[in-house]
Amino acid sequence: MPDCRYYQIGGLTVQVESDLPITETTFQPKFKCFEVAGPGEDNVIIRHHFAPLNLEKMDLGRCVYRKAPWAIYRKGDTWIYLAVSAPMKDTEAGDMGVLSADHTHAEMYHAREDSFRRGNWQSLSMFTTDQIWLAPVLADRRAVLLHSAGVILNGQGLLFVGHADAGKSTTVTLLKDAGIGVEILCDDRNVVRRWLPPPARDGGAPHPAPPPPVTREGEWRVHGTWSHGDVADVSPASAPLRAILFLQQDTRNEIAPLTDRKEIWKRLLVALIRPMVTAEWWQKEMNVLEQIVNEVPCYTMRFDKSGAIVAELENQLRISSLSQHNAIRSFQ
Amino acid sequence: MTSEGQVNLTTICTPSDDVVAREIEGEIVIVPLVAGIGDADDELYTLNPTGQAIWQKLDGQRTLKDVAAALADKFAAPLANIENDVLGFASELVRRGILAVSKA
Repeated sequence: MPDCRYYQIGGLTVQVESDLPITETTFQPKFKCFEVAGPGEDNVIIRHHFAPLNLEKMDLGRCVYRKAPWAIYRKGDTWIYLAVSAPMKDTEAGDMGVLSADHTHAEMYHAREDSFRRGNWQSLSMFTTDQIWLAPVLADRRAVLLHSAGVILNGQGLLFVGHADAGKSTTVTLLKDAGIGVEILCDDRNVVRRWLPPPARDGGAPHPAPPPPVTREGEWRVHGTWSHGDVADVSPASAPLRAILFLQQDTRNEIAPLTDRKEIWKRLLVALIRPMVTAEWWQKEMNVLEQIVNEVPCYTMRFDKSGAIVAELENQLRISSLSQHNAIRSFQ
Repeated sequence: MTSEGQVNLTTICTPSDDVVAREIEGEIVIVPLVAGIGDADDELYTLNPTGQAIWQKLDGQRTLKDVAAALADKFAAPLANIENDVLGFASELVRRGILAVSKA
């Protein structure tokens, strides 16, 4: 009987099974807050097996991508991912994932047990990142994985978007240090998902994992992930996405509406985390981005490191709260 | 695929199967499918107005000469100039793998 744990992310429940025991130290401590008691309404299954791979004798199918750390093959309806380093032949890979067409089912094969037993894994898939399965699964659920920092402030989700040195972790740290009760979702990767109201339950057995959030029609929510940057705080929580703020370090502290749709598009496109892409994946994700551009208020946030931007954010949220009360959608 | 050196006015070009193109806010954005996995930084292409006008005529039926003639007519511009623009554009995009030569 394989060992089994469950984790939630972006409204999904990930069922992780292993032929070897999963201990408290198998995965990094950051996963602890994502752990749930059992399967949910929408599940992804990852199974870990340990045995020599013998890839020389295996028909891997057609190679569709090869650039370290990945070699990816397509065989029938399955995707085969090999973890490779630059000088290595694909058949020398020590870890292989066989994923279903929709990436909701992964059989992971590992040639060595020792690294698993050593533990402290930063991903549930035991690859360098869980993005390879998460990003395709999200595309089928009106969701995107964005290079961003996410927080919940006064019950409202804020997403800060910018390139690697734009100040995502700095912003999160400023908010955290301000002591205003901010909940950090993640400072580097967050899920933005458009939720529809859940269908009426038919009285079936309850799920051990938390149910999807109760939402308004077509509500956008931001969900935390475990893929953090400099700030180790992460959370599986979610909140209505009130605003996307594009970061720009400056000598001023100012939040201004960004209404240039072309500019919003460009900034979101470069923040989109990509898996092994297909034309179908891109089209789905661009549909989601188009809806975000149309429906989520966007701003530029110029800020210095003094922390003065925190008061500006709080002020904007206060105004936003009043606006919502009057059924006005804007952040302002 | 034919290399860009073989692109001439009798060539027929079509968008490569390795890219996805989408009109966004009046601008054509092209994303390659075979780039690195991760962030999309520096791997998106947008076309200037001239490129956009050419791209929209690349229907897999017209030769580049036909495309140039249609554009020269539309913009009332000298055919020779437009042919140069079309050839330069097509050669560059074939070199980048964004256009495929379907017939030469």
